[in-house]
Amino acid sequence: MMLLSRLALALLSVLALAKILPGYVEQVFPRDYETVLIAYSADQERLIFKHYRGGNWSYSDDRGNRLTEDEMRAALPFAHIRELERLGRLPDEVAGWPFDPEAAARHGTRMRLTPRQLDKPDFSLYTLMESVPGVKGLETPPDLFRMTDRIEFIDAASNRIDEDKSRRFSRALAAAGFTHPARLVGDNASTLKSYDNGALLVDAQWRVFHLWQVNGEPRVTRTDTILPPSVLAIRVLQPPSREYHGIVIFPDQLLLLDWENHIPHRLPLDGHRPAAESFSAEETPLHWEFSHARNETGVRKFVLADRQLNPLLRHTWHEGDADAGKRAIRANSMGLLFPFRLEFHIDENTQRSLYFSTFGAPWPATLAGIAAALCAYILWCRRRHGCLPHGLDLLFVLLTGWFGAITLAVLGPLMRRCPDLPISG
Amino acid sequence: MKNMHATQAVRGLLYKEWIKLRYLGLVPFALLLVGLGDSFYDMHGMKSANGGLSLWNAVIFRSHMPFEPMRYLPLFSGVWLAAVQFVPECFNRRLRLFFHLPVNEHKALFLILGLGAGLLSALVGILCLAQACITSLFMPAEAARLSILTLAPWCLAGFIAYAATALILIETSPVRRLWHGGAGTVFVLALVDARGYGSHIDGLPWFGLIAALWFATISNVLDRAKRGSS
Repeated sequence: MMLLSRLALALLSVLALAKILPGYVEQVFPRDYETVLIAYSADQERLIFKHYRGGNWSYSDDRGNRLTEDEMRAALPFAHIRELERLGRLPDEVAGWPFDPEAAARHGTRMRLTPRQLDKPDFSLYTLMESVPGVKGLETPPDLFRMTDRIEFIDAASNRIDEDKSRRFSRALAAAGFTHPARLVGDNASTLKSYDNGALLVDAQWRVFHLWQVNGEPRVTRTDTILPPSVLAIRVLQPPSREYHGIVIFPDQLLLLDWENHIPHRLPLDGHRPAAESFSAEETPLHWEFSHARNETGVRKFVLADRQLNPLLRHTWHEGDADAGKRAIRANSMGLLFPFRLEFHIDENTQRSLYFSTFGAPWPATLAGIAAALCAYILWCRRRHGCLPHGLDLLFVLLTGWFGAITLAVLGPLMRRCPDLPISG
Repeated sequence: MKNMHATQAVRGLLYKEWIKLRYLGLVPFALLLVGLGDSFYDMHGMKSANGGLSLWNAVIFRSHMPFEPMRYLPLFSGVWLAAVQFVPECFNRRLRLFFHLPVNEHKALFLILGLGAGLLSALVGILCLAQACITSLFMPAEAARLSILTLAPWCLAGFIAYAATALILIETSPVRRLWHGGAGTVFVLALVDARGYGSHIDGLPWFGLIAALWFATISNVLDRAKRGSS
């Protein structure tokens, strides 16, 4: 019983050290790694890189030429349409396409998906605004809906279920063949959009339904799209081009639901993991540009696709040798000092939990660190108590490295080997 | 005869805890009442001034927390209750008297801890239930549910703070007191230092286990204090 109590205190101390020490030691290493954004210049048929390091931007192309900010803007007229318009430098045509600012704005969708959007807790209450609002424009609806064994609208003013509206919308869903309970719901509560595209619902059979509120009445589309159960989320889109209704997120792929009949189109990404990587999509009248990257890896993947999402060009950017070398030195040094680290919060997740990770050091470095911790602890025991530590203490240090050695040095050993040796408290 | 002495000792301990807690133990509850009132009037005021929709928008889309002032209440309550219970026991090395009671010192310790943790449980139970009821007055049940899940890590921080404070007070070595204080601070900060609703839902079982481990650590510190004092 007392051993368990001592182990509990030692374990808590190791966890606290694994949270604090690596964070402080890591401050010693430089963190000014280069990050890059990639875009395609259709006019010049080359990739443009926007490099960011230590608060400064610089620009280059895929042939290694350095570019000024003006040259970069001129090469990417769709991404900098407002600036070029202000400067009076809009091009007459881009890659043979007569430049039309209105069409460029209409086909200028920008989309960002981050892993944090996937695990963010929500209230499971959704908005369905009036899709034909008339002169008033889009307004936040006076109610929210929930999905139970029917659709229920709750009025914000009275905090009561609007039975009449709930019945009407439930009947409309039932008439369209919707099976409760809903698996997923995707809405868009923003009123800062040019039109409203309702909500996407996935029913118990994994079929996608599209629900709108038109003049206060339900309008339901039963699609032929049935999603695999591995789907993580569905989001409704309101692109000005009205080409896609929504995006469906899977553990290893993204699908766009087309405007005509909600048929899913797979994005031509190369090994994208939405739960771990951030993703961005830029639409131009000529192409789609996709890129995805994982934090702290020094790698970004870019795909250029035509308007029908067929891939035209793929590029993987790797950070320079100097940055990769700095990363390796940091990983080896940290791995030598600490076998693992504990974080309560990581960039990829909104959820606070216990996240254990290693530093990506080669295993001989980690083993050398643990061996050094063991030797130091044995020497400490010999010097302090005049005898060797107990096997359980050695096992504890073997598993926890310097964290365990420091803990036992401060708190005392877990088990008494010499009769006069005090045990930890 | 021995049993009779032990029963009398337990009664004596209970009476001593009653003496310690009867007034000072009410302080966290008084603060809880103030916090709940603030939460109610925050929601009520927003609804009466701008309508229910404004309140819903603030809570659901802008993560406004009407119960935000109660973030540190369980933490303060844990430290306060442990201090009220253990400062008189440990001040001026009075802990030595604890080892001469006709009842096992670990049983006596867990009796005291049980009373403190029970009082803290009552406090966080009232906090969660009352806040859920207040939220349900103005918002759907989903909001009340997520409010409780948001309060839960703050409540766990209260239990860790209680156990860590008790540990610090029972501990006899100043270095180890600092050590326990530092370790406790790491976990308490991990639980209270987050913005937004439901930020600890996935980690709650792990943090619950950590809180239980903090209570498990106390008996060996008491044991070492006994060996050190004997």
